[in-house]
Amino acid sequence: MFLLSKTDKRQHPPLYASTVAAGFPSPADDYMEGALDLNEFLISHPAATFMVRVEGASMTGAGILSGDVLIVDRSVESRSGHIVIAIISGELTVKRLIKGDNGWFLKAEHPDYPPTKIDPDAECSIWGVVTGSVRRFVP
Amino acid sequence: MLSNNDGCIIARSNEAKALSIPMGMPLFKARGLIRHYGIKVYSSNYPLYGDMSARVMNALGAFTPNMEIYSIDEAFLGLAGFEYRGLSDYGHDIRKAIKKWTGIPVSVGIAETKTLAKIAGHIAKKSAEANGSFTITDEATRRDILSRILIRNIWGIGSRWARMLNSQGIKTALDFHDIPERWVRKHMGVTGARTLLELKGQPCLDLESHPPDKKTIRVSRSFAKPVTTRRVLRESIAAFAARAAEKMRQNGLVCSIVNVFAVTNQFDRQSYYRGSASSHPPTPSNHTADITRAALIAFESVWRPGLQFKGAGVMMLGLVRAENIQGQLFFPPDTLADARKERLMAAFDKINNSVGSNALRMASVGVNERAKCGVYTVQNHHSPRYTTCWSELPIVRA
Repeated sequence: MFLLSKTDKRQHPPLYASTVAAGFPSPADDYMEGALDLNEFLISHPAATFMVRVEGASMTGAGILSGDVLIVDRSVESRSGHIVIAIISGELTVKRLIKGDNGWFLKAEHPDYPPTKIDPDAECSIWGVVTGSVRRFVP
Repeated sequence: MLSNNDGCIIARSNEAKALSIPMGMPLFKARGLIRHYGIKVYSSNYPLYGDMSARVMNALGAFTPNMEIYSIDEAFLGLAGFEYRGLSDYGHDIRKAIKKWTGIPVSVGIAETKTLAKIAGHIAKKSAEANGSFTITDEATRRDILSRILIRNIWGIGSRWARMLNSQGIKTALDFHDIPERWVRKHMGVTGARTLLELKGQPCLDLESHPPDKKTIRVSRSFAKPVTTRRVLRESIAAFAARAAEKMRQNGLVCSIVNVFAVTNQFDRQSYYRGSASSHPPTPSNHTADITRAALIAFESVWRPGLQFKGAGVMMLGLVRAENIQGQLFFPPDTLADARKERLMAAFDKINNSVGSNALRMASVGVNERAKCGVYTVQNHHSPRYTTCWSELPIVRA
């Protein structure tokens, strides 16, 4: 108990090595929230998210152009209506997955490209679901 | 898959293993087989492996709060509290999720101790029946499994102990499991006894969620072309020393001994030379100037004119945490100077991080980049850095 008051006497004010700004503190200091982070906006599951680059014009109707970078989340369960990355005979392709009356289809978003029926026996698998796309206008 | 300079085969697919291509075989010796069977050969792609490993470890973290990352491709997960999910089912859930999320096939071994879990993991990988996940729960399974594993394949039993045990007639892990603890303690000490208890299902090795401090830091390279000039080898050693000092600072460590080594072609038995020498900084340090100076002093004892050096490196020994440096009796610490050196290195690292490594360097590293171009790595069978480099992203057809 008595020791406490004794130590009190020996306390020195801390010496700060940095300079202290004179004048008023910024009124915005209390409202700082950190900068916007595009990763946070575009990616929900970082461990399962991959980026791929598009080549070709078959998805222009969905706003996907040649050269775009697509965000692919492999942890999302694919369902009808999703834009997906499918593997067809060893090649990655981007199409819209559609469940029709007579089976599943990979549908292009361009009049020149007919839809492909997913043959249950053929080598085709859904690699991941496209959750976003990124494009730069000025390099 | 090949080692750093496309020198040796360091990883093989199951198909390559079936052709009995041995681990570590120099590439030039395997050329015939590779051509004959049309085997695909890849240079090592550490940015890709590192990123994929981090993804798998991150994904595993979703399955338990207790996890020890054991190496780039192994982790221990504490599953206490998840028994209600059925551990065997949980193992298959983990395997399926990792495969779906990352594309990486993993094997899951579940047991009461780390040593048994390693065995279960091995079975999960090798047995088609296990389908990627294997659980050792009851006594009968455990005894059955142990009876079919040689003692030298048990985690923690080195080749020396395996020979000793074999000479006593102890061949399988079950033979070992059944000998009295007193005998093991007497002949193999507490480490051996720990392995014994672990095999019996009594955990003696905890999960290490915080990896222990590194014991040594090593920076080494094999050269693409043999190095014959003193200047190039000396500049390389200086560059390795700078990198090692940077690594120590990242880990908050200082070293008291700096070892330098250089080797000639080991396949040329007659003229094979391996030089190694040590020096020490004035006090334990991670300051680039101190480490470089020590390394260059050691270099003088390693250098031999007229030799063709194939590889070289530095090793930092006697590592301790920077805050635990022992005071020196005759050299009282110069706190002010130390603080200045520390700030200088902090600024040094900051600049190199933002401008590119080696933007700031010691003069001994040299300035002539072009002369050194191609000194370090040849990678002729380069696979794309799919996940870490914008210009090498996978292409999808639209």
